Amino acid sequence: MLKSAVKIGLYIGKRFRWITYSYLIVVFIVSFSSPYFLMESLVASSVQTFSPLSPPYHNYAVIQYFSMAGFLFALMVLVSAISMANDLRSSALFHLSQPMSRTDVAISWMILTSWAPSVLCVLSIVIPLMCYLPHLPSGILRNFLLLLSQMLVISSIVLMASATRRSWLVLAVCLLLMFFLPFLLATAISIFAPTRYVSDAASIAMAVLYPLMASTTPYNTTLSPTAGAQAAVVLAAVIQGLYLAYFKFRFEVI
Amino acid sequence: MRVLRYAGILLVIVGLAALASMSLMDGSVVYRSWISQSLSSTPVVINVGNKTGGQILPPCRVFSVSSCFKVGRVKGVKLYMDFSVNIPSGNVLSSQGVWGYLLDCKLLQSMSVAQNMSQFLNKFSLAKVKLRRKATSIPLSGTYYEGQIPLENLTGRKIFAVIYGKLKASPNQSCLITGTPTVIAIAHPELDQKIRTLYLMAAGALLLALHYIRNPEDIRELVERIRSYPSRLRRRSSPP
Repeated sequence: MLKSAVKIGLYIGKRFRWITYSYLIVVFIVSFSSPYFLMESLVASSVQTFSPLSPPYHNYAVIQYFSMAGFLFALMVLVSAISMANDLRSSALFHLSQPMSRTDVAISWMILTSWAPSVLCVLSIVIPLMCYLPHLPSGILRNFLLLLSQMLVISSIVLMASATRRSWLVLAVCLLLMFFLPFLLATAISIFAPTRYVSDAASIAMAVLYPLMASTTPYNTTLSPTAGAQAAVVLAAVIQGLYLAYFKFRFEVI
Repeated sequence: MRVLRYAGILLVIVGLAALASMSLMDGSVVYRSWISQSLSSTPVVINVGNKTGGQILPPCRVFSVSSCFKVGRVKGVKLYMDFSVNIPSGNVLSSQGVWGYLLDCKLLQSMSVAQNMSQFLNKFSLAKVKLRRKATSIPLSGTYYEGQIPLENLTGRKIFAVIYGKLKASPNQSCLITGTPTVIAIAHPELDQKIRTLYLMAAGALLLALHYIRNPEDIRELVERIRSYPSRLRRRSSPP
């Protein structure tokens, strides 16, 4: 099933050639810039100062760069998802009349919209960096897992939105997840800090939806970013399962 | 399957990007950290012979002492202790000039009681460098000195830096050296690091070759597209 889904995915990639080219351009940009941004943090982690005045080293720069790279790939998720919504609206009948199953078509779009950007985002940072240092520090490797889980969960939600075939909804969900929700959650955590329940709920949502961002928040999160990343992977799997079920049983070809 | 083709293109692109960034980064400063001075936030003056709290009596030695630090080894990066010193105008340095030293942190206590400081530094310094005079366009702001001590052989050691000079100052003249010891890292990617990127590109080229061996019709299509490219370009640029 996966083999035929990959085949259809490649066929879709060929149809939307400009998406494939955009992915390659983004991969080049991120691969080119990652050593520039991350070498500083690698050297900084190797220099230890013992002065009581100097703050302890924290990999804020790494997380900041990861967020930037994640943002670029999130834009690619948006582009793919809108293309998917438009394609399902206009030519779903044509695709599904071909000798290919609904599940294959659903998985192929899932690969293009969710798996490919998430995995490419991590690979395009980690591969050039490993050309420099084959044994990366464990602190940085942990951030890669946080980034992967964050990308997976966000792209899965966008994928679910694009299955509705409404491009405006995809755009709205993307804008909400990429811009507004992180600020809303951070604001809720700080404003409702005295009321424990709201603040805790917001920090749990932050840790699950944005494990990478949660690792930089100065507030004590109820859920640790690593636990949040694990929950994010489970949530992404559940959403993708729901998406497959919807596509197989409820999706109506117009 | 076109998976091989896309994987090949991806590896070539990532390898190319990594090689390009390595080549551009070669020789550039990738990290800079001011090592804060340990004894106070202002520049430190230690008069070993006569402790007069900043007022220096001739002949005297002046110091700026950094806090302790330790550097690790990062491959493809060379670390230096970068000194930049400003001696306010009115203070004249003797022929001895200004020196930057790196010492073991264990020596910090014994340094304060050493009587002959220049002999002590020459004996116990792990590395030293004579700071060179720096031309500056700022008028009446004293004399600037700068220098770099390589930290390559000192990785893993707990060290601190001192700036040392001998002033010919009058008895009532006070002097403060404003030194900023900085750890800088300059990227110099090594051959094996560059070779790794070439491996990536070679692997990508191999995958592409495999794809075209398995699908010879794709070569024909590719050749056709390349051949027709000038005519397509001409057609696009000409008005309808």
